[in-house]
Amino acid sequence: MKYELIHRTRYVYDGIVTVSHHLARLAPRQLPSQRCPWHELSIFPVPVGRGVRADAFGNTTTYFEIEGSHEEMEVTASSLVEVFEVESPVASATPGWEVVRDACGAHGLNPSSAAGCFRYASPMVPLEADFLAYGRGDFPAGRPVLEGALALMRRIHRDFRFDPRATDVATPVMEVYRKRAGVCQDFAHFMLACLRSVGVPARYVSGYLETAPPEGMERLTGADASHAWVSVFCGEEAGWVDLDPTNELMPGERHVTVAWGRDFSDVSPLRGVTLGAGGQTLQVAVDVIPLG
Amino acid sequence: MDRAGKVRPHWQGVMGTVQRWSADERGSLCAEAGRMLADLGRTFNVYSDAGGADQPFQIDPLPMVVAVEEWQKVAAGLAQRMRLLEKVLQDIHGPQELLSKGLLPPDLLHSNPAFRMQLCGANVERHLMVMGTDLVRSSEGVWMVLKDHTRQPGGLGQALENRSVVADLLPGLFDSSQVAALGSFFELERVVLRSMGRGGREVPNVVLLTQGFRHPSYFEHAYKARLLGIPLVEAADLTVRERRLFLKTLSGLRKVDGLAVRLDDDEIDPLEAESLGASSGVPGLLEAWRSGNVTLANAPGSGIASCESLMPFLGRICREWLGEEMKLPFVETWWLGQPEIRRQVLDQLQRYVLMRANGRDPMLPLRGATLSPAARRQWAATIEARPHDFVVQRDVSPGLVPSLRERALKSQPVVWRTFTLAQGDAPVVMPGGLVRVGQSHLPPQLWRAHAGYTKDVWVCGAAQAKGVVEEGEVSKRSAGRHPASFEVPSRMAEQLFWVGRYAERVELTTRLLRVTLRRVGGEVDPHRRGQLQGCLELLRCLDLPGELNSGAPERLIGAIAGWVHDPTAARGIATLTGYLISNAASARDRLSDDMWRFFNRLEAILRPAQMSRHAPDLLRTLDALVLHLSAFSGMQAENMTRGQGWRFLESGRRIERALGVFSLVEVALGALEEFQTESGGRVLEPLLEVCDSSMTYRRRYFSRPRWDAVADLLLFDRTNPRSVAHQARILREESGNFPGDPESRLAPVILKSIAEIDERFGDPVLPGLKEVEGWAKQWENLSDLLTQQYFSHSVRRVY
Repeated sequence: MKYELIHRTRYVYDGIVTVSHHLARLAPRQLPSQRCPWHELSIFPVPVGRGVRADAFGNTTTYFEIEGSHEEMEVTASSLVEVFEVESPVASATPGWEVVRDACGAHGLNPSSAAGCFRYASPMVPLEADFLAYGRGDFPAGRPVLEGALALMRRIHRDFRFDPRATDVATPVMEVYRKRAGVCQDFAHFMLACLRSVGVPARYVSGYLETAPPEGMERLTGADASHAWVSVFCGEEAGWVDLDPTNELMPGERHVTVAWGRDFSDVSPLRGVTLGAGGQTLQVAVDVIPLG
Repeated sequence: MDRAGKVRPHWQGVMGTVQRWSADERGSLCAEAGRMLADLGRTFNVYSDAGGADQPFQIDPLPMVVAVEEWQKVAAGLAQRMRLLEKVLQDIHGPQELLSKGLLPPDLLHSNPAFRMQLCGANVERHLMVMGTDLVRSSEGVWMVLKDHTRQPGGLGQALENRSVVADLLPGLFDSSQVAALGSFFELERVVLRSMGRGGREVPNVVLLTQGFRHPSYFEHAYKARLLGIPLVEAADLTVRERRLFLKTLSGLRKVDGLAVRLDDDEIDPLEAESLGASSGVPGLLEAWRSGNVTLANAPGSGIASCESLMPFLGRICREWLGEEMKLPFVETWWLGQPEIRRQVLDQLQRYVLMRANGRDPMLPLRGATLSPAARRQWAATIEARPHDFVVQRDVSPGLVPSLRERALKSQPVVWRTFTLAQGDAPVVMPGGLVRVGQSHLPPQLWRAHAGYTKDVWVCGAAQAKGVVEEGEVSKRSAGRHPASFEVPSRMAEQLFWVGRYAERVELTTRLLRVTLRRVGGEVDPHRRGQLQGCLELLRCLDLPGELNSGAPERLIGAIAGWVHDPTAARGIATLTGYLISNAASARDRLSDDMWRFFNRLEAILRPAQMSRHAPDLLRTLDALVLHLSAFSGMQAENMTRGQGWRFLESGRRIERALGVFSLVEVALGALEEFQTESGGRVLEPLLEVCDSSMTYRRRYFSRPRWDAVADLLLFDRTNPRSVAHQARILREESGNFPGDPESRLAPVILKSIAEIDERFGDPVLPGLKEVEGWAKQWENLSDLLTQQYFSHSVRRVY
């Protein structure tokens, strides 16, 4: 499936900003199941300093500075992406979850021990007894790791309510758990907390989801949004397998991967620090346009 | 002492002397040491009103003696350790061969939040510029590593302070003991810091970044910055432009090549802080660092090298990578993330101290030996649930050394903090260090981190220790003035400006309260008592809380006592002094030790052990304050270099003094209208006294005060250093030297305004209330203009 992606972020400041510094992670990743032949990041006002690098997780990271008085800033990320359907591993054929857990802690560097960096607490995903208690039920002794993860995903989807008003970008996982509500970021963080508390490595994935317009309606411009899901390490053969707890499905052609990390703090699409101005208004518009 | 209980040979010189002292001599030595330290200002504490959370360090005047041969062995071990830890850091943040070759369990890194993955991959030439290592002596007399400090090892400044106190206190003993000197080590540190700048310029700009004066170690940061001759800056003083780091100075942006960082990794750069919404640090700093445009020491991420969990793995890494055995043994330490080791340790938990491998736990560290069987089972379960979070260290009793406490000679356990500097591939170890004296009944891991006694360390028999740092070589390379030391950060200029303003405001308040107090009470003659009403009118200009009432002398004296001592009384002396001191504290490295002593005394005067409400005691306090404030302005006039820092301090003072005169004159004018003209003296005499101008007036006019003459003296008489005209003239003289281009931004407006003011007060008139209010507004406006032109800070927002 091919898409044209447009992600526009606009900040309107309450006053004059004299200097601002930003970090953007908006470029889709190159993957076996995904190609990004074209990507462009346009920024207004034009930045004075700009640098692109791959961060510790391989995500394309753009740093930029804007100097001189400005009252608004607009960042537009445009990309062409092609996503391929890949065959999902057979859940019952994946190794028992304890095998995966123990392999990650083994000495020597291999895909398992490398996955170990997604196995412990991270800035936004603490490990707590409550998360272990919630997750443990899906991981009885010897159960294939992907079977356990799928069961956990289904249970979270059933127990948690999608509610954009329940949380914000910085809501702690514990609060999400207490409210049993949140958005994709919260679903993903909670699932990560459960998996890691059990001992299974799992990472946070940020990207986009193509949303089909309601039956008989036109696609609305700017109506899409960023999305987030998780990826679970299922042993060296099956590797990383994506799961979307918000929609209770295994991502396929309709999910576009932008970045991954330990949690949202590693992959935040746009961070910034401004000097001057009191407050700001944020407008985000995302379009995932299918090209066939 | 050795195991036979005999004094060990290298101690004989010192102990021979100490044992001859009487108990009284010992007691007075301790007292003197405490006094000298207080004078150095370390015990000064801006937090003291917040409950005195920080117990300051005390000093035990008796040094720890280390024979030069013993020291050389330790030094060789430390140098090796620094080379090793540097290699470990390079690898952890780069190729990670330690993991692939099985020399370090991957879990150990991945489970430790001190390992900052996002800092990996930067091309860092050197991580460790300075390393601290805590050593304890085993019962066999061998020094062993207890803990490494690779993030921002503290205590270097303190070590030098202790040296200066002890060497002054025991001059004879110091000279006869051939103690290795520390000065050249600090020279070297300066050289090492300056070598940091990658800009390739001859004398790179290096600054020391601190959190600011609220941080418990601020004093040490300021002390060190002055010692090393590099500017002490806060994050707000720095800015990143086009991926380069700059210092915001009065004369514009100055590029910074090297930064000695005293912040935690997560406080360096809000753009990359792990906690979203964090606002401390310099946005873009890590990007500038990655781009190779600025060197940070120690490099971000260095903290991981000081985690105890690494210690048991270092021996093998040392053998395989350096091809050497570890020269310094370490206190038995185990990371519990390994199942076999965990089992063995849990079986013998009573032999160990249990600690967190990362982060903090309010319950830890704790001694296995003190756990009940039930508690032990509970901890065992916690450890099994998340074993990678824990380490244990052997429960050791460090070797004892002689200590002097009050009048008694004791033996007490110590931890020796050593310091090692990177210098190419041959690290250099400080021939000395800082000794912490602990409690015999506790293992050192449980000693309180920020309290207790410290000692100097004497490496004796120093003839051979000279080779430590080649003096000649150091001075050859450190010559040349440091350009950045002549730059005043804008923030610091602003703080000095407010030091000037608050010093004047405290003085006006003090003088006004003193003048009032002299007119209260029974023994005052009726003529002066008649002026009390006038004083109370003048006091209105201070806008103090509470009621002004001449009817009940006791109540008035009580109110004055509050305005003097009560730190919660708005605009009272204690409150204003608090502002004065916090501004001064933020500009600590620009103020001399003598000036700092002044602030210490000010504190002491305002916070006596017993606060008196008697008029004579209060008068004495106010007299002492006036004297000390004069001493401070004297020091400013006589001892401060006429740099931009001085200029802004002086400008603040002049503006505040003029504003003080205006506000006094305003209330006096109001009162004069109310009183009959013939009783105008009731206001004017106290007014002259507050402005320290009574004598001049009497000598000049031989009459009772008349408004026109008083106005002339206080507003227009250029020869009167208290007059507005005098302040205007000084400002005009200094304005020629204000920093930056006189044509830039607001500079022309400022210069024009000052010139206008100066000319206005050259031409005496008899003003009414309206004129005085207008003039005051113009001076206040001048203060705002200076702020906008030179200091201006904006609010920072993070998203």
